[in-house]
Amino acid sequence: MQRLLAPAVQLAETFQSHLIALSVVPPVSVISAGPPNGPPIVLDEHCKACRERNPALKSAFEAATRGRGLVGDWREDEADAFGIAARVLEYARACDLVIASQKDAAWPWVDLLDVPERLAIESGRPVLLVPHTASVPARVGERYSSPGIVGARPLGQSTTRCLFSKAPKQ
Amino acid sequence: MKVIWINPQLETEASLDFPAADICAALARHSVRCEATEQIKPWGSVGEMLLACANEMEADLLVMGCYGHTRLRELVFGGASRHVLAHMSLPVLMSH
Repeated sequence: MQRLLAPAVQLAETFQSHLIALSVVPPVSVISAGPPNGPPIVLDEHCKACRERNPALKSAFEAATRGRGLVGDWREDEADAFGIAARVLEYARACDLVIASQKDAAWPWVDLLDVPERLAIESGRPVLLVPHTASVPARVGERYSSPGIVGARPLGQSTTRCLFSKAPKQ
Repeated sequence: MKVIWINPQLETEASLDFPAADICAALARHSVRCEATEQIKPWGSVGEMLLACANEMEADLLVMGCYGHTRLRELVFGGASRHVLAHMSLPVLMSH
């Protein structure tokens, strides 16, 4: 959470932006593993765990944004049968920039819940992905005196748009 | 700011066009200092090379367009976007 909050708050403060934090509770899992013609089994423990975690996340967000001169907005939502990524995408499409965490390769369901990849492809918005392991500089370009940004292939319209959005204003 | 163009062709077949220079020229018109470099891809994947370059120059942000190929093709054959998403060790700004 802190790895995401630090760059998000920094960026929002710099550009005097409206910062929205989103927590999405996953949908219940329905398994038809019971007896034939019996009722399906509904698993919702993971939903309850997410809901219980939300107050702590909200407190951390409010603490990080308090007194920083930006508008912070905490939102909670519940995913439907289309899954978490679909719900996150609805919010992402209404934003100027999406900040998300790199997927955790150690998580067993990592291939099923590929939110970062879907955000990059389907949101239509630039996505800043924060790595799991490395620290994030407080401000791009200040950590090192050497050049801070690498523009990468494909050098098409999307890269150019990205570069201009991130280039320092002089 | 460094703009890297990874040339997927062999060194002997290096193309004459240099897209990174065009981007640098456009950025320069906005008073952004940048430097264009070309990397011939002699080994590994493009994604691997990008991350290696970023690491070598101690970049603190990688900016890239993503999924120039279809998602299915990236899924089957691999691709720079998927590699960077899986192995990045620095913040990455992506735009599709």
